[in-house]
Amino acid sequence: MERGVARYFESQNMVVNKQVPFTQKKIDIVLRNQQELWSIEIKIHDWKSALRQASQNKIAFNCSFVAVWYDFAHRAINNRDLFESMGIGLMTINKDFSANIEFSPSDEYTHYLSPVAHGYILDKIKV
Amino acid sequence: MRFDFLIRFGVHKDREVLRTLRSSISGLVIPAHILCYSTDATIAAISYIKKDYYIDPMTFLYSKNIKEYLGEDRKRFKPSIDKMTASYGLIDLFVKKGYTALEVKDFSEQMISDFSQKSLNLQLKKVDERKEGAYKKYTELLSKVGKAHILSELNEPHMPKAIVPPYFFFGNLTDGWADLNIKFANKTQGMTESPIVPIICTNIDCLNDRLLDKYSNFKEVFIWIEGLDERDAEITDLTKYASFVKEASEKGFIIRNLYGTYFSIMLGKYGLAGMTNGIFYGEYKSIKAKVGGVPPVRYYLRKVHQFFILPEAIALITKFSGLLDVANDKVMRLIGRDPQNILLFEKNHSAAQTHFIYSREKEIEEVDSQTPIKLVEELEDVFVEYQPKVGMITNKSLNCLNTWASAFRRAGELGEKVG
Repeated sequence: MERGVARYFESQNMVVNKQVPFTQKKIDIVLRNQQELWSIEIKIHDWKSALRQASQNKIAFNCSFVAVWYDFAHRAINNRDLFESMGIGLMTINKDFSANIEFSPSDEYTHYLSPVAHGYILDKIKV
Repeated sequence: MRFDFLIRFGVHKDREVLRTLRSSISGLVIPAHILCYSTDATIAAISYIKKDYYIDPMTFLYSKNIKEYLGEDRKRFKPSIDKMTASYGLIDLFVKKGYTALEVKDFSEQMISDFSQKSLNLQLKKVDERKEGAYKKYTELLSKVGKAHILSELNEPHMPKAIVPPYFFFGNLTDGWADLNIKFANKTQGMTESPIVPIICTNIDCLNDRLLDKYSNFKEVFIWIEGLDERDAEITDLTKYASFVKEASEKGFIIRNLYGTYFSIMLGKYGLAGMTNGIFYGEYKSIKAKVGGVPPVRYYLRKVHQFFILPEAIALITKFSGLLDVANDKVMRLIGRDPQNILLFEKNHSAAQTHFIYSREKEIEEVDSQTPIKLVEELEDVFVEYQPKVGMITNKSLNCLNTWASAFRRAGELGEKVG
C-alpha cells in the first residue's frame, strides 16, 4: 500500500520519501509540500497504532497524518475527537491509492514543532 | 548504608562516561570473559575509572544452553568465552565432552579445587600480571588521570572488592547444583583472605529460608533471580522476592541484586544493599540470554521508571509536561531544559548514557529520603495519572507500577491501598 500511496503523491508533483529514519523508528512517508514537511503513517486498519506513531512524529513536522484504507476508515473517522485532541490529521486511501484528506491536524499543534527535530528530518530526505 | 549502584562493564568506549560519572556509581561488575578477551583495555579501564570492582566469573554459561556460546564452526567457544575457558583450564574437558554442557557429575573434588584456584587467580592476579603491558599500551588514556597515578598503581596490587566464586544456576535446592555452588564458595573461601561474595543464581521458587541457611557461611551475596523481569512479573513473584530480601537482611546478609529495576531500588527500604545495571540494559537476565552486543540508545523517564525510544520520550514529555524531570538538575542541565534536545542523544551516546546514570542516581536518592508508604503512594498516583494517557503515544504499559506498589505493600505489610 505504501508504494501505491507514494506513487499517488509523486503524481501530484510532491517530493516523496519512504521509510525515513527518525532515530529508532521509521516514518512510512515524508512529503515535502511547498515549504512544509508532512509525515504519513499508513495502516490498512490499525489506526490506533498509526495514531501513536504519528503522535511521535509531530514534533518534527508541520503536519502529521494517519492514512487508513477506505474500507476501514470509518473506524478512525468515528474517533475524530481523539485525532483532533492529539493534533493529528486523517487521510483515506482509495482503491486507486489516491488519498483524501478527511480532516487536517488542528492548528494548535503547530506549537510543538521542534527546530531540532525538523532539521533532523531535513537532513534525512531528498528535497 | 547507601544503596550501591553498580555498573556492569560491557563496552570499552563506556569508560569515559564511567570515569566522568564515577561519583554517581558505586563500582563495576566486570564479566570475566571481557577481562580475558580484551585484557589490556579492561585493565586500563579499571585503572582509569578508579572505582571498586567485582569480577563476575560467568561460569553459569557452562551448565546450560552452551551451544549459544559456540563459534560458527560449532567446534569451539566464541573467542571471548574460549579465552575465559582457557584461563579456567577447562578447554581439554570441553574438547573431550564435545562441547556439551557440564553436569554435576563432572565435578570431582579435585576439579572443584583446581577450578576454584584458577578462578581465584583470574580475579586476584590477572590485572596485576598484565598491568605493565596494559599501562604501556594505554599510556595516553591513563595519563589523563595523572602520570603519578600510573606509577603509583604499577607498584600497588589491584584487588577486586571481593572474590566471586564459580557458580551455576540451580532450579531447586536438591538438584545438586546448589550444593556444588556452596562447595565452590567454601573452597574459594579456604584459599584466600579476601572477602567472598557468592552469586546465588536461581529461580523465584527457591527463595526461602532454607536457601539462606545454605549460604549462612557468607555475609554478603549477590542474587540473580533467573529471568525475573520485574516489569512483567506477577505480584506474587515480586512479593516473594521482596520478602526474601527482607528476611535475608533481617538475618544479617548484605544482599545485592545482580540486575534490577526501580523496584529493586525500592527494596533498599527492606534491606537490599544494591543492584547492577548495564547502561540502557541489564534490568534482568535469563541464563539463556546471549552475551555481547551494543545496546541501543533509550531515554529513561524517571517519573514512570521506564525506558522509551527517543521520539516516544519526546512526544510523551511534550504532551504531558509532568514527565519532564524538573526535580533532577543534572538531567535538566544535560537537555538544556528542553525536551527537543533529547533527539541529540542519538548522536551523543555519552550524553544518553549520562542521562540514564543521573536518573538512576536520583531514584536512589529519592528512595533513600522517603518513607516506604510515601514511595508506594507516589507509584500508585503516577500509575493512576499516566496509565490512561501514555497509551495514546506508546504501546508500552505502566502496569508494572501498580504491580510493584502491590508487591511492595504486601512484603512490607503496609496494608492495602485505600480508595
